Amino acid sequence: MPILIQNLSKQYNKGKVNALSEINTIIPEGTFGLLGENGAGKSSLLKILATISAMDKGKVSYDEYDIVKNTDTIRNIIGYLPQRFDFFEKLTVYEMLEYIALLKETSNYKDEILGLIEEFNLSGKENFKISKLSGGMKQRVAIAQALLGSPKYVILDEPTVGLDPTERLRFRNILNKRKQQFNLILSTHIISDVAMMCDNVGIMKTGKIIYNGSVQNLLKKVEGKIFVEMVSNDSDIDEKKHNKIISVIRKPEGLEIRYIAEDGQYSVMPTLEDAYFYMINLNEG
Amino acid sequence: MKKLITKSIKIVETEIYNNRTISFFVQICILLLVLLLQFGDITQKVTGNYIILVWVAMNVCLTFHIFLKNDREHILCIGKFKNWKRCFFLTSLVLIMNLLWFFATFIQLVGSFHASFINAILLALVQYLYAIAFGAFGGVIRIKGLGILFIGAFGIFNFVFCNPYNYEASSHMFLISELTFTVNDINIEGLINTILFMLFFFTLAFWGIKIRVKRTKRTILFSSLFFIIIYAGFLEGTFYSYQKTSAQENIIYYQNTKIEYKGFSEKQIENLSDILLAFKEAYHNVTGDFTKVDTYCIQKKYLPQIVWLIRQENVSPIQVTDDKIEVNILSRNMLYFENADLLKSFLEELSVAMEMNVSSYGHSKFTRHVINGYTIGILEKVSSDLELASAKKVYDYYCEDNQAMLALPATKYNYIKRIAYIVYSQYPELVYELYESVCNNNINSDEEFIDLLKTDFTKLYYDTRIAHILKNI
Repeated sequence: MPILIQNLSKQYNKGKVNALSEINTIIPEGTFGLLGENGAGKSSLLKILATISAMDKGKVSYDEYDIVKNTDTIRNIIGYLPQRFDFFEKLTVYEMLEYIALLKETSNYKDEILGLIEEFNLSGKENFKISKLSGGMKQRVAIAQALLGSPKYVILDEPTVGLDPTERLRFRNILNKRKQQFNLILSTHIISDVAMMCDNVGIMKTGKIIYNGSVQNLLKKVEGKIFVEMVSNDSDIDEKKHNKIISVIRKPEGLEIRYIAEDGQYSVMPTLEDAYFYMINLNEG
Repeated sequence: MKKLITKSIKIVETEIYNNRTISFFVQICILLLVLLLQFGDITQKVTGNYIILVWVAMNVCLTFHIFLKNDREHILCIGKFKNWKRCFFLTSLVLIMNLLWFFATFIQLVGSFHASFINAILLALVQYLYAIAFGAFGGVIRIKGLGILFIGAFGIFNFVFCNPYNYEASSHMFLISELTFTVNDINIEGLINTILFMLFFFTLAFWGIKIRVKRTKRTILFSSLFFIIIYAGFLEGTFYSYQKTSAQENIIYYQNTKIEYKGFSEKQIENLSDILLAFKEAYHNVTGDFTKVDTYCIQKKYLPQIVWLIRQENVSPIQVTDDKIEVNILSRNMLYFENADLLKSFLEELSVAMEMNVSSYGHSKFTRHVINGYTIGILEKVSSDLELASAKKVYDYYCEDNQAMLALPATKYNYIKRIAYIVYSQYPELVYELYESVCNNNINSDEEFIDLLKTDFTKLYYDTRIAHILKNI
């Protein structure tokens, strides 16, 4: 079931800040990654999709279900991890997940909770109070609660923040394994997360979606526009020539500069990161 | 739901108090404080009553905040909890968690205020739900600390204004313990006022609990407007009732004294009639029948405080008109005088009216001061004669105050009052005679007054205390 978004607008500070302006898009089934700079409107959009925040204008529907008219139905089929969350610190990991399961009216939740605890590498910590957990562990509990109760849509806002590389990998694997069970919408700064997990991607900038489509199409669009050039470690980087630099990587033979241009010396196959920067720059230009 | 509520209670206890033991200990402390206050007078009992209710409101506010704070709202929002179920869950949770305080209020009303079972249940329920609604309203305010600040202000407001001196209106907004003053003759206006505000706070709270997907600022505007219309209807109703009762008139004769009464039953005005008759008799004994009017009118003038404010009218409980002394009953407290301070205040206001009613009161400073001195004695006597429980306290107060007054040196501005007071309390057989002599002899100077004592009232002149007073001036 795709999510249809029409003319969606959201403002803060009595209209002084346009968080979302006139968004018209479709979030397709499968895994959808939402990329964008800080303040682009990703969290605002996800909050509205999760029915947590009110929209000012527009229409959002999960397939045929309008979120205003069918709020309760939609809340029943989603799992949500907000960007900032706060748990009941004095509960244990198990108790917290049990509490969420009770609220979701999940039947036979015990096995499901224990399964999630194991899946998220929290075994042995189930009787630890939330207050005693590290930031990364809390993040894992938070992701686990979003997956409780077999939701049809899982909305994760910056899920990998605070996770170390191993846990991030574990997280990717869990989601890849469960890919068929739900539609996933995740927002992140970490482009590689999207590259590894998502079939489709949306790029947001200043409250608007500037790209929405498959990762493949996006990469295709950028083909022939990404170049690399090696310069010696002590030479200056030509700002005019490389005014759209994506990355500078130190290599044994010198600095590898990766940049966006219409023509250049060595064209390379674009990555999702290149495509993201290309889209952001294109929109600026 | 049962399991959820049990777990939620644990969450609230640990979030607010850190653990169940501290929670239990704090509740016991509050309970002991309230219990202690029950041994005091009605003011302290009422204080105990609103301490309970403010405490409940505070607990509810904190409980709501625990579940509704910004970073947690998704916990209750996502899942099978519909908006109405969220309201139901949170309300059930706080109703269960504070049940102890409902029973405490009920027991207090029955045990301390001697309320009948039905009245106690009704009042305890209304007060309890009002406290829950007010707390819930505070709990849905998202600005950090503002909800608790509201409850704190509510507590202070009740502490400052919910005392027996407030008998200037039939009901006050936000005074949660006002109803306890007359538990067995329930103030209907006050009850409706409380219920209306309770419903309004519940509406606001439920509006706040509901997590919307479409911005609906107009809902709150319409709810407020609707409440204002309903409340205005209630105020209009009280005004209609006020006008209706003003038109009714009943007459009763007590010992040949005509008492008109409007808006009450004969039983309800028993205490007031006793006070009026006691005063009338006392003043007649000292002045003969030289009073301007002998008709008394007890009339119901119930209007909520806000209506008096809108009407910009200051109605005094006692008014002397051309042909009668009117006692305006502005609140139910004035029918029962459960509180000594209220009774004292009323007796003093009435004594001023009775003094003015004496025909020769304004003839000279000497007639005035003699009557003033007699009044001091009359207040002491009337308070000792009344059968009201609070009268004993008033009597004790006057005895102590009058003795303290006599211990201070007299001046030429107060010596007549003091002599008159001594005459009233020690020489009752000379009370009328002295007053009559002062009137008939047109006493106009201190020398003439002292001469009058020396020649016609030698018994008084040589009284040790009076002699001491005369020596000092």
